This record gives sequence, structure tokens and C-alpha cells, in this order.
Amino acid sequence: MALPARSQNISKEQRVQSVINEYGDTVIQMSLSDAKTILKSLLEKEINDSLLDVYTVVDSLNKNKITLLVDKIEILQNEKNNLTEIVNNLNSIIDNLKSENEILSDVIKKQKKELRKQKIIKMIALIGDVALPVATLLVGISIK
Amino acid sequence: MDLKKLDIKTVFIIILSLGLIISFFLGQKNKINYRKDEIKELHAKNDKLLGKNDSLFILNDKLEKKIAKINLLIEANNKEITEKESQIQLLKKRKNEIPNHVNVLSANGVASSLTKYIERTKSTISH
Repeated sequence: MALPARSQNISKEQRVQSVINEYGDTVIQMSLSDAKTILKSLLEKEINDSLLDVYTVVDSLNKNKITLLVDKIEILQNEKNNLTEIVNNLNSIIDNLKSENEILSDVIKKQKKELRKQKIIKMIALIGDVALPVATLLVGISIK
Repeated sequence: MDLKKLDIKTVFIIILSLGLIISFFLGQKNKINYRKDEIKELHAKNDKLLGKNDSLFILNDKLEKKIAKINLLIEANNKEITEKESQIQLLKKRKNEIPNHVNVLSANGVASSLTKYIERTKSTISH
């Protein structure tokens, strides 16, 4: 036989009370507004748990992103170093070409000088070739 | 040999011969240094530097390919983050809606919601 429902709590000031119903089950009872407060907390807790899961995934994704960005920075640094070396090499090439240009200019200058000298010698030789036989002839005639 | 007996033709021949000999020696002396060895050396240096640059360009191409791969990964990562952020916004919106949703519930609605919550929690624990 089921016992009649009665309060098991001595103090009536308590907001939540436990009672045993007619079937012998212990029933917790409270006002509707209190039950709504509990429900709100429970539903919010559920959402917070889901939020925590998503935030954990976002955190790991952000960590992964940071790792990728660090790798990218390292590669870009290597690329930059290579480009700096390329620029240095190109500057050396330019310096070498300048040196070559200077050498060639010097050679051209010497060639010009030599050419002028050769021209003068050629002229002297030409004058000598004409003047000496003429002079020889003239002297020969005057001696006779 | 009596130098006074030399006729003028002989003197001129001697002068011409001397001129020829002198011009021959002067021509030998004034050989231009073309500095071919120095130019050759500079060409060799430049070839070596160009070779080095080619290797560096190839290396940079490889690095560019790596960067392209990383960019793709970052893009996919960003896409996932955006998706998760929209999920977060949705959850936050749902969280803000809870008080209004619960306030309008009747006693039966509250009891039903609590029952559903307990069932959800128990099924999660049993899994």
C-alpha cells in the first residue's frame, strides 16, 4: 500500500523540498520559476560545453596556422638570403665587367697611340723614300 | 778605308739601311699588351658567378613551390577557422536565446525540457 504524500523537510523555508508520493517514490519539488532557473543553467552549460569544444578546435587550428606561418617565414628568410647572394654576385659581375671595360679602354688607347706612331713612321718613310732618291739624283748631277 | 772617298750614293744607302734597322727595332719594342689573360680570368669569374646565380634561382623556385603549398594549407586552415567561428556565433546566439525560450515555457514544457536534458546527458555518458 502506498504511503500518502507528505513533506520530508522539516523547514518550510526551503525552496526545494523532497516528498514521498503515494507510490513510495521520492519526489523533489520546487516552484516553476526555480525549475526554469535550473533549466536555463543546464541549457547554458550544454551550450558552454559545445562552445568549449569548438574553441579547442579553433585553438588547435590557430596553433597549426602559427606553425605554418613560422615555416613560411623561414622559407622566405632563405629566399631573401638567396636573393641577397644573387644581388651580390650580380654586383661582382658588374665590377668585373667594369674592370674588363677599363682594360679594353686602356688597350684601345694604346692601340690609338701606336696607330698614330705608325702613321708618323709611315709618313717619314714615305718622305724619305721620295726625298732621298731625288736628293741623290740632284747631288749626282751637281757633282758631274 | 777612306771615308772621304765614299760617294754620296753610298752615304744615302747607309742612311737608309740604318733607318730600316732602327724602324725594325722600334716596331719590335712597341708591341701592345692586349692583357688577354686578365680578360680571360674575368670572363671565367663571371661565368662562375652566373652559374652560382642559376643554382640560386633554381633553389628559390623550389622554395616558391614550398611557399605555394604552405599558402594552400593556410587557406584551408583559415576556411576551417571561419567555419568554426560561425559555429561559435551560432552557439552564442542560441545561448542568448535560452532565457527568453525558458521564460515562455509552461510547467509541462519545463518538465519536458528537463527530461530531454537528462536523456541527452545519460545517452552521452553511456556512449
